[in-house]
Amino acid sequence: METICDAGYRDELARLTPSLRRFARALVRHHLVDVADDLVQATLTRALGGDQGRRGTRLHVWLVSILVGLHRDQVRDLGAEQRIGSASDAATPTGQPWKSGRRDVALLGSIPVEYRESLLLVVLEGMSYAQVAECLGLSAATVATRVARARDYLARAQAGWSGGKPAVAGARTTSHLRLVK
Amino acid sequence: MMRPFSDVDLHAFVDGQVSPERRALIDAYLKVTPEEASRVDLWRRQNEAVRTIFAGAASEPVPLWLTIGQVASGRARAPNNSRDAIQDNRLPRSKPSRPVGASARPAGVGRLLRPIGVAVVAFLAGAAMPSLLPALPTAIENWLPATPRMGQMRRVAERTIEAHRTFSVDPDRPVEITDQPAGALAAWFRHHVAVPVRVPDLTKLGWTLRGGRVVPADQGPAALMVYENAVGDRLSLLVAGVNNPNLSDTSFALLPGPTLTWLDGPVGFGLVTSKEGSWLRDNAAALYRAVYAGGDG
Repeated sequence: METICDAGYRDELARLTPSLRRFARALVRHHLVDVADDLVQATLTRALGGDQGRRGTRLHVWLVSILVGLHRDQVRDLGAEQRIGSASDAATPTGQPWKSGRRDVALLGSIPVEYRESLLLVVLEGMSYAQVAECLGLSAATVATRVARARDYLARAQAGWSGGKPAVAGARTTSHLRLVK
Repeated sequence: MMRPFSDVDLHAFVDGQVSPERRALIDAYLKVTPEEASRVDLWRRQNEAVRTIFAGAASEPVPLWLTIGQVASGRARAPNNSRDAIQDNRLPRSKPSRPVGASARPAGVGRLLRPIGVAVVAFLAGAAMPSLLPALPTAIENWLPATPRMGQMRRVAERTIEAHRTFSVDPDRPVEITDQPAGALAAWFRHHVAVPVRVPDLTKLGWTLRGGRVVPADQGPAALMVYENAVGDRLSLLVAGVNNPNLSDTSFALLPGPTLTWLDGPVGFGLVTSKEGSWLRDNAAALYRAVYAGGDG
């Protein structure tokens, strides 16, 4: 059945789809293309069935919040990333990994999901802390803290990856974050 | 010593979340505190790395099944193996009712007859196309109008010929991967080619599938399938995304080469064989049908 839908709204969704795909791919475990694209499809499906009054930045923030919510459900169901600090991405990927040609891509997986979300929204989606806060239902201060925490995790993972040599003065290396890839 | 700026301030600085005045103050502070400056620099490099790594993901062609029209019509792609590892019941994933590629495939003869004003063109040295397939040319012309669509078909034909000459005719290694186990090739294409690709069964026409590979084309990676007959002739089938603005258009042509070429919405098809030229023409309709008839999708 066709969803009745404003053409302008569809255009907006289509315009935002590439960046949603990018965000989803950065967010999901092992950056699996299929898993990420499934999230995007589910997000678009929900957006088509919802309030179609949003445009531009508001629509963007809303779409991302849908995607983040779906991803959290997924993570909760998996039970794999619940524990903060679990290096779940060290597990062997079983799907089709995205061929980025970059080994350090896997380091993102060492950031607990709730911190990773905030970091990626700021860095990839170019959102302000206030927009991320709206998107995730947090205060801007919490977003700032999460971004900072995410970077700490990333720095530690990078340090662990480069053979235990701290990437920056003061960064600790933690063996459980070492990459197995 | 009391630090004038907290870590939160510095992170906000890196993310461009501070006012110009405050930015200037932090800049000045970092100039005199190298240790802080190196931390800030690390965060900047982290940001850049993340952006760089995923920059390509936003410029990839959006797969057909993710386009708004497809999502709105409730179509979903077929499940694939990689998802089994990370199964998620919560996502509203509608059960696929058709194989991958079904959405871009004409629904039988009716659809092919439907378009009014669809240019159905053939380049034939005085010969008419076989009348087996109703969709085949109703207007035979021995010249090619320079329409954008015709340009697209030419490009598909050229790409097919290039791929055939480069890869398919190689006696020992014509393909990158074989279809072992069955379905592997389709799965491979699903991951690497933005348009839906079906791997047709051409055995009734005397061709056995050797395998395939991903080849470059105008709109991104395309699928090349290579078939072989009993005497060692090779047949290449190229499936590539095309920039066809009128998605409902279907065109069909036997271009010099000879190459059997047609467009089906955003997907272009090209067929070339090292068998003598008339074979392709004589079997155009059967090949055309076979490509849509099934095989593993």
